[in-house]
Amino acid sequence: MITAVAVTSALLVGGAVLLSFKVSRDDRPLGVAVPPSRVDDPVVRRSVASFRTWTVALTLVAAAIAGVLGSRGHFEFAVEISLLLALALLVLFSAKRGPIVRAKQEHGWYADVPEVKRASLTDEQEPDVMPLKATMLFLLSLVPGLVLTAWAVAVWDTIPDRVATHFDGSMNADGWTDKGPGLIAMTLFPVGLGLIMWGTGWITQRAPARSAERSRAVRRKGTLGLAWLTLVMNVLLSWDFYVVLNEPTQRQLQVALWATLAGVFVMCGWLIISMSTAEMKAAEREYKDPSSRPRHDPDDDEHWKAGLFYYNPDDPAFVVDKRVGIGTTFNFGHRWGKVAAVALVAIVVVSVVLPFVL
Amino acid sequence: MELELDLNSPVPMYRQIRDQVVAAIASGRLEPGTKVLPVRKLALALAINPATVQHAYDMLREEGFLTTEGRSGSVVSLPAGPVDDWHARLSALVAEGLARGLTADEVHREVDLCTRELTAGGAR
Repeated sequence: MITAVAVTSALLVGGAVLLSFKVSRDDRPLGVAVPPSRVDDPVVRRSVASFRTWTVALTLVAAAIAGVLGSRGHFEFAVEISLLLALALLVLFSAKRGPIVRAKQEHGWYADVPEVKRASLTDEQEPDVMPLKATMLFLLSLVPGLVLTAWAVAVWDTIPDRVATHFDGSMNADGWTDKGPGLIAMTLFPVGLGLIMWGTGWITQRAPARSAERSRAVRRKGTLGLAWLTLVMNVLLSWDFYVVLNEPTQRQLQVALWATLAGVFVMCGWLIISMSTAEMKAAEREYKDPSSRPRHDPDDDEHWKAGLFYYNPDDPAFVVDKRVGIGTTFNFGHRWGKVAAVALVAIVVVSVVLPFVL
Repeated sequence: MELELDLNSPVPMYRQIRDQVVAAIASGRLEPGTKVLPVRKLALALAINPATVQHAYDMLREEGFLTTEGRSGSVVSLPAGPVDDWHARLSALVAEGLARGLTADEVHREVDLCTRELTAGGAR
């Protein structure tokens, strides 16, 4: 099962990168701003084609390596392959955009292109709000953990003195915790997770943002998907903890944990497919309606580090439209963007280290 | 009313904002009493430093083209009377034109052209 997860993860990483081309503006190839007249320049076409070819090759190699490692029992290394693939694709992306950047500078592609910024002095974009359905789902996601905690407190005397809380790659218990405050913290974990996800969704919707209506629509869909994912995860986690606290047989424990893993995997896959479909539809609408595309977009490459990471301390927006793909990203030059950067690095580090620690 | 900032212009962005607001008032596209975006929201929309927008708004307030109405924000207004240094600034601009080789007739034509462009939309 973990081998299948590792192989699929590698394929999903590569697939997501290839999909990003379908939902990106054609005047931002590999994250480089080019004027509309240069979109079909041979340098641009060659660079993009080369990146696509190498992405397919690296993805297939990574999936094969993950499969081999997993089949030989090296589960933690198999899981790391996806992270290594993402890193490799990032390096590849930086390398392949280089010829476009050089051609643009050497031949002065923007020399005769008017560069303007436009905005209405009087009309304000409607504030983005979290869909009511998402709010209700986030609220509902807190219920399983609260019910589980209330039940645990009510039957505290019947809970075993030692409870299995850590499991190996085959879902066999290999670590136990004594009955105490730690178990209550465990039952409240889904509540904490729900609150964090809710807060993340709220911040994403309400943060000072500058984004096109298509990006706002995709973001609202993403928040709704996150709310569903949080609800399903908390139901499954609460069920797992309930099983763990009831002196389960080995079989009961394995069924609960594998079902949770499969459920989370399916939900994440659904979210990825749902968001990708929304982005592709939004991109298609944009390409069919030329009037919706910005005119004379300025060459702001200086603010897009490696073509992917927006850094502009002068820009008051905390969230801006992505340069590659549809959706939004942080302005890492904003004071809260710096906090987000630290948090993201921490998540990546933890993700790399966790498989070796668990 | 849409602002359009030319990034390749030698004119600073705060000056472009100020000049475009004044031109819009002169041409009737912006009417007195119209509410303008707060500094931060306009800066957000333009992706520029809020201090740049603040500078433009401060200039417009000093000149009487913007008025702050408490918590409601800023609205377009008309100065109570002629700006004291307007003649001096016009004189300097005309002098520059003449110094660059324009004839008096050419200066007249340019002033007429600008006035016609601004009043074409039904200005005051």
